[in-house]
Amino acid sequence: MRQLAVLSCLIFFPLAASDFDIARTAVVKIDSTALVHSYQSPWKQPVVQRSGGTGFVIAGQRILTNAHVVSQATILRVKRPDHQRDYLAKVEFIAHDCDLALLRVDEAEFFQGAVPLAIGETPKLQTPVTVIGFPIGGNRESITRGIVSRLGMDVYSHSGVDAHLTIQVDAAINPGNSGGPALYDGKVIGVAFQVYSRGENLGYLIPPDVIGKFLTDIKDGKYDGYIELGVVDMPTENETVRRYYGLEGMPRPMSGVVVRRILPGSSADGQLKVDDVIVALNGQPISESGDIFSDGRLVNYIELIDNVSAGTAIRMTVLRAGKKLDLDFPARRMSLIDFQRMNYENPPEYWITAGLVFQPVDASLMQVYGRKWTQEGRLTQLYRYGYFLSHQLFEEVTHDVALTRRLGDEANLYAESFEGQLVAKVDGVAVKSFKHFVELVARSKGEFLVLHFRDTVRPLVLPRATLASADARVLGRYGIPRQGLVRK
Amino acid sequence: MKRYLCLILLATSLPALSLSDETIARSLVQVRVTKVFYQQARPWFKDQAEPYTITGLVLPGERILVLARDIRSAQILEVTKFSSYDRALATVVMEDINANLALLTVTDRNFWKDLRPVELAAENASPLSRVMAVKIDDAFRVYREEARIMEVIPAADYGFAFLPVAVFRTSEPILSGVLFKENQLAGFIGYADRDKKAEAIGVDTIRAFLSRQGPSYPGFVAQGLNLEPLTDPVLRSYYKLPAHRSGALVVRTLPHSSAHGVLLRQDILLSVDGVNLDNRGFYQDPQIGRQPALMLFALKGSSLRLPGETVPVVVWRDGREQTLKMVLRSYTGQAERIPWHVADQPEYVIENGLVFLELSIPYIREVLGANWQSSPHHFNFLVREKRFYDDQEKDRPVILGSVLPDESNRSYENYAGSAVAELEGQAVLDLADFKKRLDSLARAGKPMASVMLAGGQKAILSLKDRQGINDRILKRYGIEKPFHLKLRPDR
Repeated sequence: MRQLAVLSCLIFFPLAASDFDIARTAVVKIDSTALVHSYQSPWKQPVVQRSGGTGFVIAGQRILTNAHVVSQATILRVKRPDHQRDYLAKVEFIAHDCDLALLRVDEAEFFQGAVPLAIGETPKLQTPVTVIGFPIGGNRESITRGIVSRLGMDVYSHSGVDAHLTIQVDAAINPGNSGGPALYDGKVIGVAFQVYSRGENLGYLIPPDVIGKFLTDIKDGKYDGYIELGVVDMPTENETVRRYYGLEGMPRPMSGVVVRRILPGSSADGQLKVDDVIVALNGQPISESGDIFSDGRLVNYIELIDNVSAGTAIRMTVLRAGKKLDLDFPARRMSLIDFQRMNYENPPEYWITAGLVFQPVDASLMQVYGRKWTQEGRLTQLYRYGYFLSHQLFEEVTHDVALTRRLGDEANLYAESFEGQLVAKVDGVAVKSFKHFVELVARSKGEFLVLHFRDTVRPLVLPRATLASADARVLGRYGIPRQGLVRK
Repeated sequence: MKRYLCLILLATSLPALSLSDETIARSLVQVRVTKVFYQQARPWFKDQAEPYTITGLVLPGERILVLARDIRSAQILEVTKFSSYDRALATVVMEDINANLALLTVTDRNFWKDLRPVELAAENASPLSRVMAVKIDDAFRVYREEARIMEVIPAADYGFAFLPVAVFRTSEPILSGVLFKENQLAGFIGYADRDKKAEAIGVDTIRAFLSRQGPSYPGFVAQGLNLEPLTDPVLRSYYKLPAHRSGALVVRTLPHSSAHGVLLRQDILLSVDGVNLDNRGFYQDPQIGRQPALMLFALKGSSLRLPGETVPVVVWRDGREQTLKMVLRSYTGQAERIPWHVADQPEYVIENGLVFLELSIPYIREVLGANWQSSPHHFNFLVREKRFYDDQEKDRPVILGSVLPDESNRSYENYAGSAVAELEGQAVLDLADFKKRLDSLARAGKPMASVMLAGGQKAILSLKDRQGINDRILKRYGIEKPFHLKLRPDR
């Protein structure tokens, strides 16, 4: 029975041993010492957090790994399994939106004898893969094997919002594997980066398309990030929809998709119009369900646009009021949902007045307060964050501002009930963003600073004359170095 | 001396109820309730709910008192009594969901022969008074437990008419039963939680309910106001309230209620019928202790107020005191844009296999499950923001409740659970308006109609071959009628 199992491995993974031989000098263990900020007490010094992961040497004496392995790192040490010592490394480029990072090691001897791994092509389904890494903190490399079981667009959990192509494999991927290569035929066909916690043995790889885009993007010395077409579309599979948009004459199934909404600041903003029918991308016809036949497989047209770099032209053919138009417009990054991406780069913003802590409601804050607000039934906060795009709340605000904590003080004895609420107005002016909120507070001139919240009619009224002394007292009492942090 | 002491001890340990178990059992009946309900997302389907048993109280005049909530929309009510295994069918004589009381009767005169109607106590049980909480089991065995009234509070089972209820706690949970005091009915248990804390509807409410039967039944007073405290001295100063005055902030009035049109948002309610409020909106009642202002609209002294009564109120508005007259009104159901309860078959319209409904709490509960209130689904946000009307509004949120898969609605499957924003570019007032406009478009020969959904998606309905599509879908899914709409007073 045991022999059979070995035999079956040999049959299904004939190249596995050679993949490992090729990779063994290139795969490195990464130890990270990071400084992590607290969103509950954003004025506090960040705490030291140690973690580990995997990386691998690629051409140009650089190490490719996941962004989440090296995020917020102040000290990075890399070690090859055939070396007796580790080396200091530095982050050269980091891309949180696709969870990739490139490291540099200044000591050239680190790379001696290391054979850089080449990036292969996106594998087909059932391709056997070998994943190499240093899971669960081990010092020696570990090898797991499986096959490619799915290709599709998925959210990259490190950013929390960006979705790109992923490769699903049934090879075991564990903490510490992150950043490690998945190999087939001696080439990297993916970077291990996340698992599906509720599934059995479902691991995910960042595919060569995404790796390639990252490596191309940084060639000019900076990482620009992903662009967004910024279109909410509607398929035209429905016959009545085709009739409504005058698509009866289009050969089925190539009737394209209808633009239903355009997000401000996106590539499509100012170029496409609502009710345009997108019928082709870069000359390739789009089907009634939004698919394009590319490289021998059907992919959604958005997936193809995902690979476009900022500034590159997007060529589209649209039907507008029955007329065919060829459009050519530059791909753009969209900042509209930046606040819904996890923040790893900067210390958290906050502002304290009268002992009340105000913070922007962003992805990092939601990670801390989301569960609490759910338990407390604070539906407004959850709804406004979750439906921000689909219900066009961006027309009201850039993001919401919450009163997250009350630091007990004489100045806020009656403010307890406002804790956790979203600020709607300052002195009668609707709040658009955290920066705007702080400006409005600073600009307040009347006898009172009047704050209105989204869930209560009763305002929170603070006497302006005593605010400055209250602020000084609170900062002193709680050992807070400064009143706030507001980015420009 | 020893004898006296002994007698005193006996007197203090005497239970508040000297009725025998058999006498109690003659006053209580068991009512088996079978309810049939409509599925909310597919409202042409009926389902039977799991039957359950409640306790009824025998009253003079061959009546049985039960909780209105328990028997609402019941199809069959089977009554059993202590002396027989026979089941008699009962019918509803009247019900008032605001008071949470209903009266049943059994037409078979023999049923009443060995039952003993209960006499109502002269007044509500007051705080700290001792009562006997009683319940019966399936075999009519009586469980009795002495309890002390902890407090009397205003409570509204349905959310509108706040009436006094007595709060008490027992060691054994009594979910359905009655309170006795000195052999008379002191309360009817209307609510009990898992913490064995229970609330009993007072005899004053029961008496008022019984005495006001008939076509001119006035109901109970729906206060219709929400107050928030003004304990913060800075806030009082912001509203320029003089230091010697106190009151609470009016944050909402409910349309068609007593407060609406009299009190305004941001008024400070200072006094009600000459009784001054403190800065939390409370006052000290000589009989029932510290109470919120709502109680002043429910009680005058110890008597229940009636709809039609006028109550003077003093408010602080625009920097000065104003005395206003509030005519008390009952609630007759016009305030809810998103109803808490749907009495019978929900309204629906099926077009091209898309099932359009008006948003209701029962629909949300069915779709989101038992913990619906903690879901951040946008329906819950609509409930929070738009459950009640403001002033003259009459709209009802129309939603795409479900999709019956068909060629005509291909690719619309994921739109189920969206609110309808517009029909042909115009806002939709309610389901009847939606249907009327669709019919009108079809009659005008429009081949299609576009329905804009809240998420920005658009469903295009075919009107050209509408009849054929609808007939095909109704037949496939075994649905008798393509729509169900009712006549409503607000239409």
